Formats: sequence, structure tokens, C-alpha cells
Amino acid sequence: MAEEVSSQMNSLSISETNPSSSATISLVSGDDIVFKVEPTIAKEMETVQSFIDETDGKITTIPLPNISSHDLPYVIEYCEKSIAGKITKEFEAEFVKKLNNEEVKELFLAANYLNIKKLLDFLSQVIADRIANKSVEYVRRYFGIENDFTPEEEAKLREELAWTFTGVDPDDEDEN
Amino acid sequence: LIIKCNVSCLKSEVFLLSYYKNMASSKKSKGESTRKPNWLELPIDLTKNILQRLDTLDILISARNVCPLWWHICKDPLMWRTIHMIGNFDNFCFDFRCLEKICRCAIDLSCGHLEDIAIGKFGTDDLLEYIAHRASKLRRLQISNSHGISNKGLNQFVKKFSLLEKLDIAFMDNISKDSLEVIGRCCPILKSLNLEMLTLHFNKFRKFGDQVFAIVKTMTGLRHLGFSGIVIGNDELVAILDGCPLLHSLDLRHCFCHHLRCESTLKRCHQQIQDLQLPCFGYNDEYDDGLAYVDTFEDTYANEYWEY
Repeated sequence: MAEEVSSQMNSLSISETNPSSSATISLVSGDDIVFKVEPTIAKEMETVQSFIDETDGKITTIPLPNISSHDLPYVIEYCEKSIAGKITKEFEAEFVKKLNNEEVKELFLAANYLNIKKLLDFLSQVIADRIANKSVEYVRRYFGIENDFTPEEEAKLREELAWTFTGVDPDDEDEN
Repeated sequence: LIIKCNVSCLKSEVFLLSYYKNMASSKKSKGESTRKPNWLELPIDLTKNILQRLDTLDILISARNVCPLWWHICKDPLMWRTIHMIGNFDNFCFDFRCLEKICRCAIDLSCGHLEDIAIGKFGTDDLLEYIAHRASKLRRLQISNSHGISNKGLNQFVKKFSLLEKLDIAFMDNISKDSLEVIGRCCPILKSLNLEMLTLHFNKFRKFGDQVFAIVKTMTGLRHLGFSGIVIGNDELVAILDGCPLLHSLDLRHCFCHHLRCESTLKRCHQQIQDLQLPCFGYNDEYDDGLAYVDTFEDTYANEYWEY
């Protein structure tokens, strides 16, 4: 499915071919791997499709510098299932099982970049599931977010939480 | 309720632009991508799309305390259109009083935009009153086994939700005919009603005739009706078919059927209701008609029941 492209990223970016509806679309990952896909797949990726539309279908090679060759097959797999109308709970469960936290986040960004609403919503749910029932510290680590509350804000927060959770074990409250 | 998130194109583009730049600068190390995007630079709508999918408790206790930006995001009343506090709170050492407080806190944050709320065991009449005064736009209400909610409370406060479209109640006590009548009259656009009588023993399924008649008398616009844990017979079924002409979904799977052999009624059910789920089990001793019916009609459901 994938083949190395000999030329440099810059020079291959646009290659003209005869506009034909059955022509496959070449998606070029950030690390210069080409993935040939059916035009129907490209339709699922709004970013790609609008690129094709803007050039009246003359351009069929689309560089996707933000997406790695590791992530792109997952995106294509999801789009294929989506077209076939085979996005089932089972498929999604299997799909997610294969992905670690980093991959989920990368695919989320890829889905956003390619503007694939269904995949984006699905991955939003996956991320939400993975941070559900977790502590603040865990969520910060998961996203690599620093705790940048000022001491004053932190004090205020504590106050508000104390008000909300009076009646909770003090130990638990400290954890939050 | 479906959580909607309209990704703002403009913001996304700005983000992508900066993201693209980052990529371009890190492009030198070809091959493995080691990009670490700053999640705080994500368009807010994307973050919202994730956070909105979390439980009320998760947002209140964890997500909004992650950083000032997320705190700010979670202050948006539109984040609180849905408040779901049903399920297993064993992970948290909260007693009912505390859960009720948390729920009130979430209701406050919704600033009147609350559309969908689900409350569990901790619910009380007081809480219902609190909601009644602060959620005039409520469209869906789910009360699940709330020990502190009485018929009187239902009577008094559910009627305040004049925009209610969907009502689900799971009750240990019986719901009175009067409550249902009041709800029917005060919630004119109610489209979906699910009533589950929680029972521990099969022989404690409740007779529910009066209530069914109260429902069909006052809730004529129902599209969906679901019962569970009650005894239902031919008279009730006919009343439903006559009283709710718009009904296209009827779920009686977890009811006891009682004299449901009347062929003409069953035929009408199948003709009138597109999504019909008939009782999947009967009661051997007292209501043997039911079981006979199961044997001949819905074997698959019966199997489900035995697993259950």
C-alpha cells in the first residue's frame, strides 16, 4: 500500500494528472510515504476533498505534512469502514484497543487536521473515556499540562471545593 | 441528548497554522514524529468536545481543576446543559448529602441552560424543587431510584417543567395516578415516558391499571412509552392504543403480561406501533396466560430473560 517517494517533498507536492473520477488519490504522509486511496476515502477527509475541489480534480497527490505514516493507515481504515457503513461498537472497541494514549492523541490531531467529524467525535469520546474517573494529576500528566494556577487562584479553588464537598473525608479532599 | 460541538473554522485554522509551523521546524528529524502538541493551544471547541463527554462528577472534581484555561472552559453554562449523576459512585467517598450538594453546584453552573438532568439515589424533593426553580428549559428528566423523592414532590415540581419532552422514572414506591395526571397536564409536549417499578421479586410486580389509564388520558402526544416491572393486560394495552395515536414505540419487555392472548389487540399493536417490544416473560402461577404467550411468540426474548 505504501511506497517510498524518490523525489523531495517540495518537488512532489503537486503532480498533474488527467482529471478522471476513478483515479486514485495519493496521500503523502509527513515522512514521505505515499498512500493510494480511492476518491471516496478522500471525500471523508474534508481537508483533502476541498483541496481536490479547488483544483477541479486535477491534483491527485496531496501532501499531509502533519500526519505520520504511522497514523495515516488508522485514519484510512476508519474512513473505509465509515464508507462501508460498518462503524459498529465492536469495530470501534477493537480499533481503540490497538491504540496507546499517545496514538489516540495523535490521531485526534490528525482527524482535526483532516476535518473528519465522525473520527474526531469518536476520538473525543475515547479520550474522555481514558481520563474518566481519574485524578486531576493524572489528567494533567495525560495531556502534558502544567498546573499554572497562581497560589491565589489555588487558594480560591480550594475554598470553593471545600464548600462543595463538605462532608467528604478530609483525606479525599486533600487529594483533590 | 447529543452533545454538539461546532468546530470553529477560524480558530482551527489559526491553530493549524501554528501547528504547521511547529511541524515545519521539527521536520528536520525525519521519520518518527516526536511532536508534542501543546493541548492548551487547541481550539477551545475541541477541548470542549472532549470535556463535555465526561460525567458531571469528573468535570467538577477533576477536569476543571486541571488549569485556569480548563476552569474557564468549564464555567461556560453551555457545558452544563447536561448533568448526569447516575451510576456507580463507589470510587468516590461521597454520601448522598454530598452528592446532592455537588449536583446543586452543577445546576448553579448551568445558569438556567440545563436541558437534561439525570439524578440517582441521592435525589430528594428539595433537590427537585431546586431544579424546578432553575431549569425552566429542562427537556429531559431522569430520576433513578431516588429514595428521597415522593409522589408529593413529583406532583409539585415536575409540573414546573413545561418544556419537558422525555421523562424516565425508576421507583421503588408506586407512582400515584394523581402524579401522572398532573405531569401529563403540565408537560404538554412530553413525547417519551419510561416508568420502571423496581422490584426484587418477580411475584411483586405491580398492578398498574389506574396509572396506565391516567397516562393515556393526559399524555396523548406520546411517541414512546416504556414500562418495566408492572403487570399489563389487554385492557391497558387497548387503552394505550386508543389514547396515544402518535405512539410508534412501545416497550413492555420487562412487564408481566396478563391475558394478552387477545389476537385482535396483538394485531392492532403490530399494525399501529413500529417499534414494538412485547413482554418477554410471563408469570407461571397466577398469570399463566403470559407464559403460554411467551412460549409461542417470543422465544428469543424468553432466553434473554433467563440469562438475566
